[in-house]
Amino acid sequence: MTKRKKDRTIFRVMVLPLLSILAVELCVLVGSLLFGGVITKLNQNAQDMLAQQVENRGNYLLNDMIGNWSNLNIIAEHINEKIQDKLNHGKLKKEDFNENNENCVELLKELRPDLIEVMYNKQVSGIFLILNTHSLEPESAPETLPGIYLRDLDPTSTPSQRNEDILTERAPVEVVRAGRIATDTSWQPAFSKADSVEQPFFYKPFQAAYTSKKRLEAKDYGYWTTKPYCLSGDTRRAISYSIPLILTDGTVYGVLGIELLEDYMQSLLPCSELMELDRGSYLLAVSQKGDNALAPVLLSSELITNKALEELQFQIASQNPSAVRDSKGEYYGALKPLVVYSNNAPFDTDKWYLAGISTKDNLFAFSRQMQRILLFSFVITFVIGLIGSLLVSYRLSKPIQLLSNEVEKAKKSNEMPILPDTGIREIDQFSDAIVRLGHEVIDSSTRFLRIMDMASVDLGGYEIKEGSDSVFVTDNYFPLLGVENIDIDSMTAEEFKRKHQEILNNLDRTISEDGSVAYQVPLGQGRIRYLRFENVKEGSRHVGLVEDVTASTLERMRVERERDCDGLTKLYARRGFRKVADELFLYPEKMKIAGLLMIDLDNLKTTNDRFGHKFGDIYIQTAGKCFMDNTPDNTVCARISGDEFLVLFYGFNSQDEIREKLRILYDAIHKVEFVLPDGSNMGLSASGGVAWYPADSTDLSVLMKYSDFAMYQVKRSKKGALKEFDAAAYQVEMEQYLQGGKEH
Amino acid sequence: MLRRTSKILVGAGALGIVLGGCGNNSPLDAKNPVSIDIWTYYNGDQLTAFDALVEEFNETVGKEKGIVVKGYSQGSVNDLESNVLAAVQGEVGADEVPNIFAAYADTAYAVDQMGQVVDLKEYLNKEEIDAYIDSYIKEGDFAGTGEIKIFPTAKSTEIFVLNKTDWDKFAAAEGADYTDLADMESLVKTAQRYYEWTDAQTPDIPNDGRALFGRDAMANYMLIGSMQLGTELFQVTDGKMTLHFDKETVRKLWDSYYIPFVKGYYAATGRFRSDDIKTGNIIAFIGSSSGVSFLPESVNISDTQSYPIEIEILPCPQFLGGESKYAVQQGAGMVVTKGTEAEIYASVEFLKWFTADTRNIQFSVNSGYLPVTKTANDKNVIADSGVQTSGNIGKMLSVGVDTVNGNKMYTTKAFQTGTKARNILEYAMSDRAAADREIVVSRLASGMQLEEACADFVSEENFNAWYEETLAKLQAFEN
Repeated sequence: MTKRKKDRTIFRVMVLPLLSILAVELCVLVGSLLFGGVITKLNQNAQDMLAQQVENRGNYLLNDMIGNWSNLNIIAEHINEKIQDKLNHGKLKKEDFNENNENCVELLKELRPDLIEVMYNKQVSGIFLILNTHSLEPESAPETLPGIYLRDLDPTSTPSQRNEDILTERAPVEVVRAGRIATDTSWQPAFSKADSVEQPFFYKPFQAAYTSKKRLEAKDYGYWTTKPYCLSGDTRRAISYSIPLILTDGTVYGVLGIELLEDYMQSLLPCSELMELDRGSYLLAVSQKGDNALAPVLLSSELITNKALEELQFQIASQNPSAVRDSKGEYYGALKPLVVYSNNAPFDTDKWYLAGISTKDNLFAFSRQMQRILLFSFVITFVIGLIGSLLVSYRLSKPIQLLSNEVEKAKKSNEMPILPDTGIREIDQFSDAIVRLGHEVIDSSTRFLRIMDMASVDLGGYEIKEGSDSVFVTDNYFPLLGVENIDIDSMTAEEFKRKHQEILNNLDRTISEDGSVAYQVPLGQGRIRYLRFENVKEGSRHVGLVEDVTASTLERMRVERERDCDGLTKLYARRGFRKVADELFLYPEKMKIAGLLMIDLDNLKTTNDRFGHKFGDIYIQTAGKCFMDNTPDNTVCARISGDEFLVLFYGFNSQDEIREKLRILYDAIHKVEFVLPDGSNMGLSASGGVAWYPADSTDLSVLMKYSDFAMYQVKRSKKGALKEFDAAAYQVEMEQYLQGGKEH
Repeated sequence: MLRRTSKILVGAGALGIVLGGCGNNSPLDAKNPVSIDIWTYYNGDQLTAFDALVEEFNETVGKEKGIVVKGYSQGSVNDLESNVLAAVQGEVGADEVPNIFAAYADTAYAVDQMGQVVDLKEYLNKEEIDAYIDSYIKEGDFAGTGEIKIFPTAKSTEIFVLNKTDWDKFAAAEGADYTDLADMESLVKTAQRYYEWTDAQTPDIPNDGRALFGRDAMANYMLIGSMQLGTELFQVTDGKMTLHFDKETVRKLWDSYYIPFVKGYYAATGRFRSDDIKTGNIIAFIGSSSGVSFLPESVNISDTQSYPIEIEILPCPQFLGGESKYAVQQGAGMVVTKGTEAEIYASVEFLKWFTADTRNIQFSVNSGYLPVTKTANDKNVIADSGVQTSGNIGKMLSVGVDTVNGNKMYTTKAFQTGTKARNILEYAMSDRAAADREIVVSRLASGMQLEEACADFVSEENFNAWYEETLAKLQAFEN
């Protein structure tokens, strides 16, 4: 039993591999990206770029802060010298430092151009000088302090020759009068408490130097304001760096500082360089408490307003000191420390930082976009791949399916299928070959059939293959059997066997002398077709044949009939009689009581002599007809020789019944009259002898002998009479014969 | 098959582009905002007012349409001009050319000559153009073809500012009133009276009389004064200037400034005359109406002494005898430089928004400029607009609007070397006056009397010498 191969459609065969390839591809794509860490690297890249920018910008800023802006030594020295000189020459007294007196004003007038020059050179937005020698204790702190505060609103552009871009924020009236420098709207002649004593840019360096036990250089007491401030009456915010002014004898007499407007600082921290579309921002911040919290000093972004800034709380990330996080986790930042103070300087607990921050969404926007693109292309690939695979498989498998369907259809209808073109060369070649093969098969089978058609013999056949449900039957098979309208195409083997058997059972059979069986198919109008069946089993093939043997059968029957019948009387001949009688004698139940009558026609010879053989034949025929007509149906009549007839009466219940029949017969015989050629009439005369079955014998030959003896006895005595066998007489006769008496 | 597919693809692509572009006339994209830089010379309150409006724009219309405006103050007009020219000429160390910059006609003209200025006529329809005061629009028509190279945003004229508190003392004492300040000639006389009156307050100290008056923008004085006297000093046609430095006219100008200055009736020490008011140096000045927000509320005569003052604003005294009354038209407009379509469109959007009536009034009120549209140049409209017009600004607006409506507004047409020529006018007389006054002061200190100290300065020869010198300088710019 061969194993059945798996039954898969071509569609499945194509689609499944395609889909699995697609799946593998997509897995590889996703896997390589995920495990390749592309996304993490992109994010890291963004962070690194930010960190790099911040590093660079921080360096620039630090450079400016340390190398330029906070480098006030030279001007401080210069001021110190000038003042010292004046002190030495008595033009100035230390007490003058506390109010806007003439000397002070004179000093400020003189110093103004220097301050302006420094402001221009350093490209800072403001410069100030405040004079004071008092302690800043609340009781002794002065109400106003003399000084000068100048501002350049556009530090980066070339200084105006006429100082037209400078505004005076604070300066004594005389100073204003003396120089052609515009005053700002919020100009006041002196520094009020709010603008000096209470401002960190003043009191911090001043107090640090004033109260210091060690005598450090002025620059060591330098201080950067950690929160932007406004001068009273002004709206602009600024941060500043200031140092105390200390004479060589250690007197702290004031503060000198530079100012950086918030707007100006913002322009120096362009957020566009952090991220496109200004989505990032620089944050200048200070950590004062030594913890990770960052107090913002200023923010350079336009997109994050100051309101938002207040709500956010930034701090240095604990795991990564060069990163910044905010309290809500929305922002990410890179951090660069700005070392603006020397080690152990009084204010070095203020740790300055420059941070570049951006919302995580913005920072990782690119990687998010990449992810979206990848997801999108994943989905698209999947969809296209799926649809494509299905479509391609369908398109390729459809013609093949059509082909297969046609073949299935053809199988059922037993016709040659019309195989459609698939458009695939190999398959079309294949189907062409099949069609050709089929045609060849048909041709070879029909070839034989055509030859057979030409033969004079009608042959039909069938073949059943074991294990197959179908049967091959020739078209003429059932018609030969006399059954029309059988659909042999759709017949199964079982149906065929059943039908065949059914038909056979309904047909009469004749068995010929050689034992072959012929079936009779009535054709109507008395005609019969004789059929011979033959079948053979070869392995798993069961082949059957039906042959129309009508002609030969009829011929044989005719020959037999001729052989068995007397042509003249149409009665049985000796042979035929023997055949029939022998058959009968086999069945005693059929025979029952039987009698064998042998009749001899009297005067045949003389008739023949007087009137010729022609008349003699008539005499015989008439006798035969008489016997025929006047014996019951089941009587076997035969003419065994020229003038001897045998008549077997059988199936009777007694001898008397037979005697009755005999009497009828003899009556009929006596009634027959011929008209002789010469016009005279003659009657029929026949001598007969009867032997009884089973009384006299059960053997036919013996009965024939006995009936012959009985007839002979009649012939010796009186002709035309009937006598029954006399066993005793026979015995005597036999003894006489045996004893050698020769009578005849 | 391939050709057919590619044709279909191309067709589909083109359709996609067209459809994508359809329904989107403006080149702006709210998701990709275009950044616009504006350079101004505003300071103080003006800068605050301007910055506030910029922020308002960015948060409303700007956000909606995809425009981010950044304003940069260049400090002063001259600084602005030199920075703009440096940027346009691509000088080393210069900034990038801004999308919009505030400019007077001269600077705008110079930049236009370099081909960097956008003609805004294409971006404004006739209605929009008609809304603005004609002479303001015409200021930007360099070629005379109706082009609009300068967008009027904030104009000003000159006003007469008076420290009323101190004037009243004088007026009460000497029986003076505003008619004594009504014209130039009267002004000179009144200044002399004031000087003598103040000098007399301190009989012990000689020659310590105080100046009544000072003037900002000397170039205006020369140019407008000349117009009032009937001569156009810089006559400009097709970008070429013909000089009419008429001696007689100039003499009158000399007499009405230099002479009183060296005598001490006029003074100028601070950068602006408003500084002089603050320090009590003078009690009146003619200056730009846009300076009104810088006017002090008190006078600091010394570092410790100050007192509050009330300001009065009057129309400028003019030279008598002229055919028409002239007032100076100043105030920079906004110039849009060449850039991408989106940038220019965004710039015009901002400027239109900026000069819409209510906002225009708002800016004017907060900054001391005058409204630029015809409809807004109306005291009633200003009053109705709901903007706070109290104090000096209200007074200025009143006088300013009257001046604009009651005078021929004049400004010199732009020409190649306009700024340089203008600077000659600005400093030629005033520098000389300041220098010569120093000498007079030192002479007075050494004991000379005023008459004697000024003698050689007030002479004919002095004028002639100065006139010739200045004429020569000016002729160099004639083309």
